[in-house]
Amino acid sequence: MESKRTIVIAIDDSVHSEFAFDFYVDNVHRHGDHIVLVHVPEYSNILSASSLLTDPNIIAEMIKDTEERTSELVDKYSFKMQQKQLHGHVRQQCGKPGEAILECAREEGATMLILGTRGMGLMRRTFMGSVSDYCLHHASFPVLVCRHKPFINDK
Amino acid sequence: MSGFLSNLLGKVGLGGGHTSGQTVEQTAAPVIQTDTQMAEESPKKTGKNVLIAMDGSKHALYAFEWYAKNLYHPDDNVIMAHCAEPGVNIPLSSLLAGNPILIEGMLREGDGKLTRTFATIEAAAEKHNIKHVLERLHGPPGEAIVKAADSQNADMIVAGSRGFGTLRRTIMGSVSDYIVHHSKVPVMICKHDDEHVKLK
Repeated sequence: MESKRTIVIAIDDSVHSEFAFDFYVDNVHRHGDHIVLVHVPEYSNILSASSLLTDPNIIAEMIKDTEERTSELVDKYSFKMQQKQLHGHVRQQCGKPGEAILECAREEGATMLILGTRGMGLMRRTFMGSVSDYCLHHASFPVLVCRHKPFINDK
Repeated sequence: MSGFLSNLLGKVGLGGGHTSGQTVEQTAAPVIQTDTQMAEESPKKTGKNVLIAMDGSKHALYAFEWYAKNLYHPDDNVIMAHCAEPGVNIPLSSLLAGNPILIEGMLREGDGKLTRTFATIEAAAEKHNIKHVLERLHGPPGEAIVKAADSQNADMIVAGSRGFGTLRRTIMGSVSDYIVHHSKVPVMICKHDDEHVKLK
């Protein structure tokens, strides 16, 4: 008897996440999989802005905006899950993306972690860091990094 | 502290951990199709082209086992890609000393190792009854694997997190690292929780 698998997929509102999700559905999914979609909303830009702005209303607006986009994202993926008759739930996790994703995956007892990637060339990756790099180096379970030729920008 | 600020800090994770979940429960109950609402069928599975980076190391074999257990589909086209680097194990001092008999002996030993590696690969595939093709690649392993995946139209690459390197100063092997950064297709890196203990 096959034990139930927990598949953790990191999502944001990019096409890279969509590709990762679709790739999972087309090539990895097995009946009985329990899917956990983890989203790490970006509040860091608000935090850095709050040191410059003094108007609490503007910050409240920014928070509301992020929450709205998160809510849209959750709806979008919930719909995709229902469409494909998949079983699972969506989680929001806060903190630095790489750390937050791994923490969620550990808590959920992930069988594997699936990530999109921005496909950035060497220079930009060095300066901007990479969530998939962090996760790959620190995960203790298999990680599927969904590279995709059309997304790759090797500069 | 004002309400919104503590709320913000909470969201960013400074006020303590915070997660929220939204459950999308979908049972396997049959969906009634009406004229206006046609539910999509369950995803159809077809075979995929999979390239497995296989240097014969315990990590690569673990990756293959994991593939066999978790990813394998009977219609998959499996390519076991082995990158041989003949002569790499001959110490420079021997080459410089120029003793042809010694060098020949080392080359033959290298060949012997290769034969054993291929036997190990065949055994692993047979154990899972996975038909496959063995590709012998040349050149720097990372490059060779990524190129082979491209030329063979692989849908994904499967690799261990490290290979024969026992030096554990790095968190991940250089070849796996190269593959992840240069592949044009998804890469499954089969990491596991303790790379020494588990693979004894």
